[in-house]
Amino acid sequence: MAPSFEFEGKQVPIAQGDTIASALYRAGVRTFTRSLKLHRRRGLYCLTGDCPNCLVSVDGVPGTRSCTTPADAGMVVEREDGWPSTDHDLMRLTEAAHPLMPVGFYYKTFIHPRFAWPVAEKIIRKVTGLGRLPEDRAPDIRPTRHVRADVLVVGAGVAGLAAAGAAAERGERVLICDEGEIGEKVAPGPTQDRIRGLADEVRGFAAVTVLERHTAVGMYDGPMVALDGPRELVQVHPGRVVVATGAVEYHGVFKGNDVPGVWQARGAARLAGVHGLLPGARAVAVIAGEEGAPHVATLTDAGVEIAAVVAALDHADVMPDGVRFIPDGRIVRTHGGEAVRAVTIETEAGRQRIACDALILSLGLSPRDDLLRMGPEDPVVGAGDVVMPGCSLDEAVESGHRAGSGEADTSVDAAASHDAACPSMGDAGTVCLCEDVSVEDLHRAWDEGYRSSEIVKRYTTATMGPCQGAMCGLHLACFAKERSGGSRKAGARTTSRPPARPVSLEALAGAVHEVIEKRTALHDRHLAAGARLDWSGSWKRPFNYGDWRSEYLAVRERVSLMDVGTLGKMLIGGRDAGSLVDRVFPTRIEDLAPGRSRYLLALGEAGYVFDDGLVCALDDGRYYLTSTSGGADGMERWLREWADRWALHANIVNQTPMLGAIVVAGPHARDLLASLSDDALDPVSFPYMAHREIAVAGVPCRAIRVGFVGELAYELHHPRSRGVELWDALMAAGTPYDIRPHGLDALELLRLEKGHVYLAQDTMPDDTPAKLGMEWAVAMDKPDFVGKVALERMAQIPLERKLVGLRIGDANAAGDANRNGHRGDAIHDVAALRGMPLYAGEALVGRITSCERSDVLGYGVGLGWLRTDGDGEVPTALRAGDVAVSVVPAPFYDPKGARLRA
Amino acid sequence: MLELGAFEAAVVGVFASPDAVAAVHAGPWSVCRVAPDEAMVVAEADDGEQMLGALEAAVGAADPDGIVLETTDGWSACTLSGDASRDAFSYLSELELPDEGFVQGAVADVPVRVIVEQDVLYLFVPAMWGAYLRDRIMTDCAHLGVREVETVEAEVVR
Repeated sequence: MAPSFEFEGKQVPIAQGDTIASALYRAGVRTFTRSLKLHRRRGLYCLTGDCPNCLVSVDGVPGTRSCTTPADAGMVVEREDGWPSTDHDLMRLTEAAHPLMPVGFYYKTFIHPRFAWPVAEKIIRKVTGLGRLPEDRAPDIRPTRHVRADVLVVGAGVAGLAAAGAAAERGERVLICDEGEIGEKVAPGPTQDRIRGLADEVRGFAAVTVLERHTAVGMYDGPMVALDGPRELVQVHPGRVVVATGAVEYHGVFKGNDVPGVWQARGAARLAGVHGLLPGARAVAVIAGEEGAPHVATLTDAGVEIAAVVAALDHADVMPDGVRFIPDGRIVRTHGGEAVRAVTIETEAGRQRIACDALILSLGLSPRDDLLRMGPEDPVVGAGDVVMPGCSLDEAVESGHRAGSGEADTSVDAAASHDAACPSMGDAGTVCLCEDVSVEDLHRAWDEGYRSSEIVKRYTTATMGPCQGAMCGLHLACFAKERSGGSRKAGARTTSRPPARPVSLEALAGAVHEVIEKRTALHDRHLAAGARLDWSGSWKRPFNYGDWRSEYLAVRERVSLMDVGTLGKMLIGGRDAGSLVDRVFPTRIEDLAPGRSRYLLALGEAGYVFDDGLVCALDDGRYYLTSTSGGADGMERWLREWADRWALHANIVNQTPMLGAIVVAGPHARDLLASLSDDALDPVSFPYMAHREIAVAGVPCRAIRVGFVGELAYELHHPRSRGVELWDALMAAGTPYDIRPHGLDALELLRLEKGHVYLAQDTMPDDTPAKLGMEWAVAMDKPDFVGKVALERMAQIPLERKLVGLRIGDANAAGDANRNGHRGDAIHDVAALRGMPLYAGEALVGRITSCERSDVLGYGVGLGWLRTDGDGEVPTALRAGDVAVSVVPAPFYDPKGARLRA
Repeated sequence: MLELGAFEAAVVGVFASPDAVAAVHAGPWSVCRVAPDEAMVVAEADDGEQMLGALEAAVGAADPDGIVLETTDGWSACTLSGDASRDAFSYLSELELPDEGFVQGAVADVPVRVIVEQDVLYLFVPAMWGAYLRDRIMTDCAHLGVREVETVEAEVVR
């Protein structure tokens, strides 16, 4: 049984070498698409993958070029536009209304009344567009690979193959790619023979890699060239690039130039010569270049009756015998609304109408130079038709050799590209096939004041469709040049940007990996304990283990563990280590004795707080420094930058990956550690803010007595590989205390009760220590530190806002704020107030940044910003919605710190 | 063939003046110069202590301010081995692999240090990304038939 694919409910047989387009054409399909706006019929035209006329959906993937995609058995192919069908499209009526909707009409209409635009938008989206993304299919994420090469050659035609061979002969590693199979687009003949011969030579080089069906979609910095291949995206990182993408035939612009039956000559010849199909029974050919005559011969040989050939007089002697020759004529228009029925040709003798069902256009060549224009001149060069459109085979070989040998004169080549000859353009017809932009539209845009190719492009959307200007880019530039009186600036080619060829989003998505997860060594322990893990910066951390309130109570009443292996951890050594820490941070370091630690703020040069942490002085003159979980890399960079700037002898080691850290917190924290350690832990030997090297359950730890949660607590910094062992030992030894771990949800309330700030959640990028109420952490009497000058200057200016402690749901709050008579103990969902604006009377004065209900205190606690009155004072009686809020000093819990110093 | 294996090694970090780091010569271990003032030195897991002592002595003499630190815990190490290992690597990174030697840079979008031998790549990634990197290798190289194998006792990497 012959292979076939499904096309709109029917099976279409596949012949040897068929593309989807050729198989459909053989099956009688003539209308492949409808034009974007006017829904005019569109049939096969270029067969080189350059025009938008043959785009279909294949297996749900819209925008597939059927003329270059091989037909495979089992495919499901559908046409993309038209209602109720592409063949019978009622949307065709839009063309009748076109005079009422000239180019740019949507910029001018639906502005008033405003409700009209959403309605119009829906209609426009229904009428226009290309296919639909499948909603019921998971993306087919393709692998992405990187390839290095000395030379990348894009395009395996005559010039490209010659370039690859020349580079390989020099001993360079060469990658040559082509969007099809080598030679497949070219009809049998001398060119195809030359290509096949060169391809055999190139394949003989061991250093040459050939990637067929890999389309170069864009050139990026590096250079890096992205190739869209079958089920893969290849990112090529070449030393240099030879662009040999050839040329595309000039798009003919005249009345009726877009109906089915109008062909570019290469497409018609390929259809006949490669696929054995006739573009029509009786054709008129219009020829302006040297390659036209061979195409006419191919068609004649295939059995097409050539009704006439229109060409310059000097072509007469290369015409096949018996063909009617019309010298020096030009095409005026086609006849036939749905397909070509006849054409009108104009000569000096007048106009004549010739009956035919196909019009073959060989009008000259436009360089297919998108990639060339995307890349820098060095090391990207062109070869062959892309820099010398219409060059002979020998010239193409020579050009390829020069480019492959690194001898191409890029400046000359680039200039040739920019100064390509202008195609002729009639006074009617479709210029941009993708976007349905006509000659009239361009003139209208110009007359409305859009006076350069770039601006006309934006106004009309010409060149902005799937073909990215392959058909009309040169026409647009030439139009602007002509209308501007020859201005090279106004008539410049529009900027070329990726993608040069249509590429699916899923192909590009293969290179994107957004979920890059950092895990602590205890990740599996948290999962086993039923933790809800979620993102905290780039880390996955436990937010709770099922019941955060009970976790909170374990800290306040018994003992609890928390995994803080995410904290940034730096070791700073060298003879200038102390100097570096002292000069970078506003914290006083000179009196920090070995074995002691101190809170530190990190300030930028503008005096703004960007991180905080702890600094521990070590016995050997080194310093151990912690930072927030998200701040480790930034802190390392910051320290290195200042060490370099001041030329200090200091070595900085980011120990974050190699050390874990576990907080043991709660009234029984010391008891728990004592059961696993022989080291002295009593408050005299190991006081608050001290740090010691101790062994816990045999695991060496740097224990730091800190109190972020407001209870007796130890941070145990330990080798990451011993983390699980330490965690398990602590959990087992904590059984008598009903120990349980706590997550970030419990921590939120624990730290709020102590009035501790979460950077980023409670702060803004321009917060100074004064705004945060943390002047105590800044030693302004130090000779210098980063940000000191800025702080001195800002001290002259009254604070415009302050971060303050908030008591939420306070029945004793002053004024009438408590409108609904809420009592503090009646407001349980305090957390829902986070972010709420704060009012003093009717005046908006600030907002809540963090808040939660405290069961221990019996009311809600929070932090928030308040605007000052100019003298630094803030209002104290507030409301958030209907809830009374009052400003109180933090910390709320254990304000004298007796518990954490226990 | 393509195999992803775990790899146990001892790793020492040398953070010192460029001259002192340059003076660290390969003994029975592999020296990877990751920055002018930093080297990563890798040896078989059992040789870690000996290596640490030797490096402390060598660096201490050249730069008393230098830091020599065992950093084994900071790394998650794995091997990609087999004749498809280099092909597999191209799906993970744009780094160009030498025939043999050391490269560093983004692999699967995270910072990785790679010691390259003919058919084996030794990958060292900061430990917090260890699980992620293994997942990415198994996913991105699935079409190459990658399979996980037991922990391998790596031969000395030089």
